[in-house]
Amino acid sequence: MKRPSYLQQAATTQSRRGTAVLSPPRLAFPPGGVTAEFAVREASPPAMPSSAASSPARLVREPAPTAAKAVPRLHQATHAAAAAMPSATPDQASPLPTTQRMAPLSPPLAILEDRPPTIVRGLKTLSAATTLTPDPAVPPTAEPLPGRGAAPTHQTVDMARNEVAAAPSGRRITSSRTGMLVGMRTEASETMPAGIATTDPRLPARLGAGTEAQLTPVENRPIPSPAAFSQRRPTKAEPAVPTGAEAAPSVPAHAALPVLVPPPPPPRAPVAPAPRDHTQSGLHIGTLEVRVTPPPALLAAPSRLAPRQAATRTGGGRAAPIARGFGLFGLGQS
Amino acid sequence: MPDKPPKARIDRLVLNLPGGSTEYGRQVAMLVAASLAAANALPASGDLPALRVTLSSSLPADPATLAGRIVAATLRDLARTP
Repeated sequence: MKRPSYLQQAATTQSRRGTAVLSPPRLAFPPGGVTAEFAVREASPPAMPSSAASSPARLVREPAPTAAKAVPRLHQATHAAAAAMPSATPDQASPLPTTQRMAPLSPPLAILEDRPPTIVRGLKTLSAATTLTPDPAVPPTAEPLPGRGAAPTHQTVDMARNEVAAAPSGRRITSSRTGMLVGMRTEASETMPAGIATTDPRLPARLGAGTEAQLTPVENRPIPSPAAFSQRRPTKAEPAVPTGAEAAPSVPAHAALPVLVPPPPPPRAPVAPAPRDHTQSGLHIGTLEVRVTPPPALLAAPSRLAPRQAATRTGGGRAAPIARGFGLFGLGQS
Repeated sequence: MPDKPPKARIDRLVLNLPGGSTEYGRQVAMLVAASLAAANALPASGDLPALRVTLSSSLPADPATLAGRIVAATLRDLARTP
């Protein structure tokens, strides 16, 4: 029968006591960060005792053919290291309180950006299909942890994996748990301090050339763009998390615009009535023109006399010409 | 009657009297204005920019006789106007 591991016992004990186990302090989500980047700084592998150090966990440097093969191989390595540990039981190995003993298991995390759904997807894949190999270019930076072996590592990973599998689809896994899992996974690879970006396509470049990581999101849900992320409204199933930036006083969308009212027209001065108004009641004649013409009888009288006189003078002489020798004067004279 | 407003007002009076003198024309104009003011047949209100009256008669020796004829012709034309 398999004996419960150190971490399982510690987790069970602390969970009964009501103390959070392996839960680093939650980091508030950066208000405006939308870049899917999850970096975990991993400490150097714990110092092994002489027997354990002589037989360290095997590193899988060749590319894993499948994810199913990679994980058992990792578990074998951690089991071998656990068997070499001198401490048989966790209580005997460290008399310190469980919380203090578990503190080193949560490595210092630097979560640049945390999006729980993305992290969960990356975590599922990471625990199933990732084989991490150390990057020779990056030296170990953390100090070895005294009294701590690599044996319980895989058990914690299994526990976390079960938790993730048992979680409902819509449930969120806290970033602390995710960080712990990533850290433990890295620790299981024994010597690799590496930065892991769970869903970052630049992961191979970060881990180094020899690292092979197959991080395929389980749910091929498209990652919203930053613009859509900022404009998207939280739904009921996904309540909004008020952060410092979001808690700022919001400006009402329909702000009352100032109404510009034209100034009232100045009162008109009373106009004096025109003088014509006074004459409206009476009779007004602009110009009265009187023309007096002489009567036509006076004008026609001289004209009548003239043609008569002219006819007698001209026509009478021609109509009855008097013969020469028989004129008026001749008759009278003769 | 200075208190009452004038019943009728004439801005310009033009007299064309062929064969008459200036003094004769001045007397006729004064008599026409006075006769119109005293006339009772003027309309109560109205605005006429211009009114032309043609009278065919010889110049009498008395200017009042010509003025009487001019006023009668003017009232007759005013009665025609709408």
